[in-house]
Amino acid sequence: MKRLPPQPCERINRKQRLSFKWHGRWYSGFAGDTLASAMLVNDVTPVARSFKYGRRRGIMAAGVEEPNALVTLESGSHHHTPNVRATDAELYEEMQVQAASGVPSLEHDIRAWLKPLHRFMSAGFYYKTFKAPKNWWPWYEKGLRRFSGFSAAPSEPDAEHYDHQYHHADIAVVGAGPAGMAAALAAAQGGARVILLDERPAPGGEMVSDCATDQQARQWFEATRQALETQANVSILTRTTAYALHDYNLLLALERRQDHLALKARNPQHSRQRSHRIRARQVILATGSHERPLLFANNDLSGIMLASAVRRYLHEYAVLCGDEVVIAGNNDSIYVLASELLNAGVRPVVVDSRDSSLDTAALQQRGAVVRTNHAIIEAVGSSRVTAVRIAEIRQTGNRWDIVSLKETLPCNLVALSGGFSPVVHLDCHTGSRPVFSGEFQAFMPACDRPNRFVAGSVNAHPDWAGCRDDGMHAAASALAALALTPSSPAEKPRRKSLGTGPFLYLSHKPDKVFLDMQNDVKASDIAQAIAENYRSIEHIKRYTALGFGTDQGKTGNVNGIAVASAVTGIPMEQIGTTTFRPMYTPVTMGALAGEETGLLYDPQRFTPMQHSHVQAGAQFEVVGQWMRPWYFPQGDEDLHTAVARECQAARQSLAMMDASTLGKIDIQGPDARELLARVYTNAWAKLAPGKCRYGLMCDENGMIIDDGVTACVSDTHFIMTTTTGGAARVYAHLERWHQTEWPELRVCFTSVTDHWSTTAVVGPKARRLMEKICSDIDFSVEAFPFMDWREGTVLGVPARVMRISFSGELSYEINVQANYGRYIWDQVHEIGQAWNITPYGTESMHVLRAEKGYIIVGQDTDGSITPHDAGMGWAVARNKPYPFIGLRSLSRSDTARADRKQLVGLLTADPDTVLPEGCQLVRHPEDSAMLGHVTSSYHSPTLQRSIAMAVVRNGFALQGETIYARPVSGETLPVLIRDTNFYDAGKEQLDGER
Amino acid sequence: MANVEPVFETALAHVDTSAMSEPDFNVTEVRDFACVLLRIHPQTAGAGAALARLGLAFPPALGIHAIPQQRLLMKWISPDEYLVTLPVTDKAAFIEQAETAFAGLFAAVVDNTGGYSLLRIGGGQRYAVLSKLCFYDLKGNLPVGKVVSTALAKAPAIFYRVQEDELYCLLRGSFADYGWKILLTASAEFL
Repeated sequence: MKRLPPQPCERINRKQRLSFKWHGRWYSGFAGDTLASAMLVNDVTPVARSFKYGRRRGIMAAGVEEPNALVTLESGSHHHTPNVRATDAELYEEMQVQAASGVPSLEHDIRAWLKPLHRFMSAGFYYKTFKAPKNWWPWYEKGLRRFSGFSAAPSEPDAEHYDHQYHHADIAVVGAGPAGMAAALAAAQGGARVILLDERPAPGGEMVSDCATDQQARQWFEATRQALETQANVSILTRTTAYALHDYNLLLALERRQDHLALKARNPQHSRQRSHRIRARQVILATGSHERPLLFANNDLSGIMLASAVRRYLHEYAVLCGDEVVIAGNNDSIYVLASELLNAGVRPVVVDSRDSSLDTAALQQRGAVVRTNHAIIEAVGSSRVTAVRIAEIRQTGNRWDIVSLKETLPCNLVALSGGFSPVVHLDCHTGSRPVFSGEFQAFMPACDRPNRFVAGSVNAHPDWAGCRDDGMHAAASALAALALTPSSPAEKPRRKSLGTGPFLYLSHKPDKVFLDMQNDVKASDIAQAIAENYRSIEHIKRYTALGFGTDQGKTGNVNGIAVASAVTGIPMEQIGTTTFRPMYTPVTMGALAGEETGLLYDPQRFTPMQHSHVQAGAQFEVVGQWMRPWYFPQGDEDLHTAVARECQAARQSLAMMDASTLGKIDIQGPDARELLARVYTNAWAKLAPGKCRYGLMCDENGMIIDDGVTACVSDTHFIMTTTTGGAARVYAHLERWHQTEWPELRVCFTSVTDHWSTTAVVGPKARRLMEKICSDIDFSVEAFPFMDWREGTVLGVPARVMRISFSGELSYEINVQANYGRYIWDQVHEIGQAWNITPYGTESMHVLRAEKGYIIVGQDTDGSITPHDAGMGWAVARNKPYPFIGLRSLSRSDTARADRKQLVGLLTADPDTVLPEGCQLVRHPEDSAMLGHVTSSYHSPTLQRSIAMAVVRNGFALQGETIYARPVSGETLPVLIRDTNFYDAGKEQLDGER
Repeated sequence: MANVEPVFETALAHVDTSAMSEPDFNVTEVRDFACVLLRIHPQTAGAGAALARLGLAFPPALGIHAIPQQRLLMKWISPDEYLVTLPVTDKAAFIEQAETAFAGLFAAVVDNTGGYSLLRIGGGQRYAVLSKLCFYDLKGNLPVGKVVSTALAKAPAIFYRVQEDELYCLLRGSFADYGWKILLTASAEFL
């Protein structure tokens, strides 16, 4: 390989030399090189080992279709990037590169040493070999994993970050080759808002090669590029690969923003990669095509490349990939390359499988040798190709035969063109199936989804001018769909033909003919799969792993279909393709996550008191996105010590809690009361203003879905509270039933969760505190009984004070506008010091409520518990004029039977044993059948022993009996069943100190 | 009885307000604003007259009815839901007047002032930053006088514009800290 003198359209900057390190050795290239072009010019080979057989592999392509040259960048560092294709990695200064393959090393691969066994390792080898004995599989798996795969996953945290961006466009154009550029410019000039994407560093696509040899092409390209850059309504995203196209033209694309920069030059404020989410009214796919290799024995040797890649390396990077060249193909494009190689001083041998009528006299006069009706049947070489054997061939019907062996041609480069496969991937992501064209010997895009067009090479235009005209025509069609007019008319261009010959498969040494280079799938594997009765191409794919690699079979799949067609005799159009699914090229996990990592992965919701909690040293837990204080440790206290202290304060003196997270829904309207009666199981007809009531909410199956206290503000105005995690769900539940089933009810709902902050003052001395901070409410037991609420002024702030309790103690909940929430909390805390007021968190709240047997929906219920199962039949009013949601279901035989799982209390025989929540329960020690499970379990500081709640089959009838808990630790522990109210059954504490 | 003046705090009272204050991108929390939700359907008999008594008129869908001299904006939220923002000091009187005007109608007046944080977002790169977080086309589809209910990253948000060079974002109070942090993250490359 060598670097040629400056080429007319080369992308490299010869003034900027860059060094890179490959397997410990330094090499150099130029700015603008890809890693692949730099490796080629430095004669780096092999670059990889194959997946299954460990064969040496070289660079085959020049773009994303490359199956072999996978590398690891910056191995082991915080910039470790696995499985990068060298062909689209732009070289940067001091790039550290390792091969992605080789066990244990690239030079010495154990899999290659197993060559004598390779003939046994055909399709299905793993399935057939490692299935017995069954219990050996873990060892098999361990060994197989050691020999398979490519780059190791990163072991260090990523030093860079990623983000997302949303776009909206009238027309999105994918691909900035001549078709895409022409389409984008025409669309923009027609008045559309356009976004143009291309995976390469600069627009042009394959046209760079045309520009090198065609003055007209160069002029058009420069003029169009400049026009696009000055067009205000065009956004151009380069280094951006559209990787998925979903329904309604949601186009996803990955932009590599900093991958091309030296590590030191990367801006830490900029994301490394960005995932773009583009909503386009019209999409034009100018995605181009991928050249196919030819099928012959040892076609995977290093030095065997795609002809278009040889052309790109020549024109874009000034790299001559070989000086003894055989060009083989079945279409006219091989003669273009031959001519260009002659210009570079190389005299190629052209092997054309067709009986071509093309006039090649001029080429031959310049020194090229042309063999028509010939094909390569075998490549020769070990570490790289040194010769090819060619033969005269003949096609009879669908069958190809070798007429006679001709000669052996020494060479160090073989350039192949087996025709072009349109890049139909994006068009297929929404379910379209490509259609086989005999004329073009390719699967063409169906393009049968609305608001979508294809243009250029993907539409079988082989020349830049045809692509340009097709792009302009697609733009005109897209503009028309938007009711816009193109600035100039565009005719649908006629396609020129490359005269692509039929697929060529000679069945010569099929176990050496590679289809999928990355996964080592050979022609013989396809034949074997078919012999084993796999018929669908989808099954053949899965049995052989054809197209399973990171390249997704971009160069191999269609050849695999062709071989399947040749073996079965079924035409390719009937065999069809496998399913094209996103992603078109691999997308990093970081780009999928974007900025939504760490603390931003899920929103953290805070109450107005958050900063007071932080200052108080609270430990937090997440409850339905809310950050709630879990407990407030003092000094070196652990959870249990802190909870014991907090509970003791609530039971004996005074405590306080932030209850702001409870959902709150403002319900207004003449039918508000009726609505409550329908969504709650209990009665609401007589709830007077100033009163509160606990409500139990069921779904239509009669199962508890939420609970909470609702306050009556007026006959037409109520404030409902919900569980913290259930607020949004309950709000949607109300809206759904109102909008779909009861639209006649005149009622409206407004979420006021965030408007109100709630400070709960709890404990026997709560009244003392309230009297000190609020003078316009009479807090006496008689004037302000349990389950009442009052409006007043607390510490100068208008407030709604509810006397409700989730602890069994005297408790007041002070609700104020959230803007005053922190002020109230801080003042209550300060003034409450007179009674040693103690803030408590959710853990103490759980203990306090469990001591009273109050349920937590979602913990003590799981969607299969009715009010009766929960022992809350008292909250079910069956005689309401209009049935509540779930009433009918409560009458079903299964729901009404007496032996359902029921919520009961449990006491362990050993008072110090706290059962694990979720612990299984059995009737007798020897039983294996589960009787139920523990739903809540705590050590009760008040009772100085453990307590638990559980759902137990026929639990109510079993009260007073002993059953057994069986935690995962393996013990069997006796537990006594009892009711759930462990504390103050006579409610003597509820009024506190009078 | 404690003798302390109540302290009014917005959801973002704790943040460093200078964190996003560059010409390219700047965010400020509007702290003098109240938020009152009017629930009334335009087809309800007497609804138009009731609003007229408040000096208001129903805005069109996704529209805003503005009374600049009172710094009052009435924003369409849904077919029977309108969000009124106005100075804090005017809130109590407005609620009282609205409740009087709506008396006898199927309508509701709900104070939701504590429920929201209002951000003013400006700067030449405002759309570049917001396009990283919002799937709605704020640049192309939110002209002056329009309001949309959408999302800022994973938080529900209401965006509206009343002048060319800036837009407003209403976040629920509990999400405000998240919204601020994610704006800070997304705008880092412009600050």
